[in-house]
Amino acid sequence: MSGPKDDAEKPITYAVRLSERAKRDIDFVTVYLADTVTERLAVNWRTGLNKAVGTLSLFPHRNAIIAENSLFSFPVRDLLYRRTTNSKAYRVLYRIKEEGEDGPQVTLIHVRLAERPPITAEEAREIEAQQ
Amino acid sequence: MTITIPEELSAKLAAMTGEERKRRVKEELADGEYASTIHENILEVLAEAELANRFTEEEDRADMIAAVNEGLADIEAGRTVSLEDELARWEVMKAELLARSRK
Repeated sequence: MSGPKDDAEKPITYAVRLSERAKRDIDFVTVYLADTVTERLAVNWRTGLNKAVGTLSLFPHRNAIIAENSLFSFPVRDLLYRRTTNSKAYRVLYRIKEEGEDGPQVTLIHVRLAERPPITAEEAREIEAQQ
Repeated sequence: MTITIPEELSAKLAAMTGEERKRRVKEELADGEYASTIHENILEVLAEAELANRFTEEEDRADMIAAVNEGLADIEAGRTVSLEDELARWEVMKAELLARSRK
């Protein structure tokens, strides 16, 4: 039998969606790895990424808001994904929407290789001033 | 796992296109027990280094900002898909990639 206590303990589940841009970024890396490494490794990379993205439905707040956030109109967070500990990390940038017609949502904005460390708040302000 | 490859081979590989590199690494390394994994790891390191070196640091920042703004604009315009639909699309793409790898 369920009651108010059970409902309060139930974790919020976020619907996960992808922007067209994020979809294209993921396809780009998959095809790039298939063409320059092997199809098997590309499948392995994508399968791991899908799994990591899936965890955002339960724990989207565990990743911090990005250092470059002041440049954007909406709080942006990033999940770092690595195929193996020796592989380079990819930044999965996303936003959380707590309320809406379709309930709580996490939407992937962009996916890119995290070769360089995130820019500092000071650097972000400099870029903003130049624009 | 750390992989060391001869400097001469490394320089040759870095100067090649992705397809040439893929073929050359397969030719250069012996087909031992872990050969295919070693091939993949070396190729992955080189491929990701090439991807990372596409931009200077400044260009990388500008590209990242433009890409995030594009993604946010997609979301505002409703140009999004559910993860479930994306996973279904991926299954088709995965089957094609695996079929290609068997050729």
